[in-house]
Amino acid sequence: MSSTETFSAEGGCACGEVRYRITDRPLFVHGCHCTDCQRHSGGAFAINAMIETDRVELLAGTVKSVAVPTPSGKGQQIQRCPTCNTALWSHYGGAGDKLAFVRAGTLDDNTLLEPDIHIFTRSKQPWVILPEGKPAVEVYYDAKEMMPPESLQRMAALKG
Amino acid sequence: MATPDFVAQGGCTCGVLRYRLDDRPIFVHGCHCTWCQRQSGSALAVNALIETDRLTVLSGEPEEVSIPSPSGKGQIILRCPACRIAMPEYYRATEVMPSASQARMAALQG
Repeated sequence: MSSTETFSAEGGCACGEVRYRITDRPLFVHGCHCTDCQRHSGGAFAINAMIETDRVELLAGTVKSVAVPTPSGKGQQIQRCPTCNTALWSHYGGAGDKLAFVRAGTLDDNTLLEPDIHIFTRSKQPWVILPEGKPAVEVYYDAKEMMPPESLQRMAALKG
Repeated sequence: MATPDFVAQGGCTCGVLRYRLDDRPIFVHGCHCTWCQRQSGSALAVNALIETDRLTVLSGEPEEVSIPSPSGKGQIILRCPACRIAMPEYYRATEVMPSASQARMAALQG
């Protein structure tokens, strides 16, 4: 069980049709500077809060899943509001739909979700200055080295 | 007049929608408002203002999606009809510049 059961944060899309709540602290928060995330966000980087999908509760509306290609070839399923199309979270990678990458900017109080690590800094926009002391890697990282122990336990439970 | 030496193409993730900017952007915003944070899912949006007639759609048909905005006048986002992504995902800044569009800069890659 998590030791942070009191944590809760709500979010939603731009038109207000979809509302959701995350019921636990994110496992880890990526500031992802890969070119795909730049294109998806239309900004300089994405902020993806990893959390178990069963700890993302839909409060209002439904999400539609839109598949897009990824560099790995395995694809990504982006969950969007069916009306305004705001992207709310994605599923991709080895954990599949058990793991959600919540777009942290869609949280009502997104000050909660400063990235724990910046990844794919090899394609970072040169004018983006990362905070000193914050982990940053050129491509990806070894979870065992970087993630907090509790998050590693939750990840193991997810895969088990 | 368009700047003849400037060329920049962009498109969505699935490749259905491609577009071209035919001139340098008028001005580029790094917008940190909470609306741009929600729409991008990130910390800021990067919006390049350009005359709509200097934004040429090369392939695909963008779909217009209206969403609310703080002013109450709304915003029209143009999205790829297939992947719904940051294609020529621009909005018309109707209050300020009726003929201007704001292209999401990151969609310009590739």
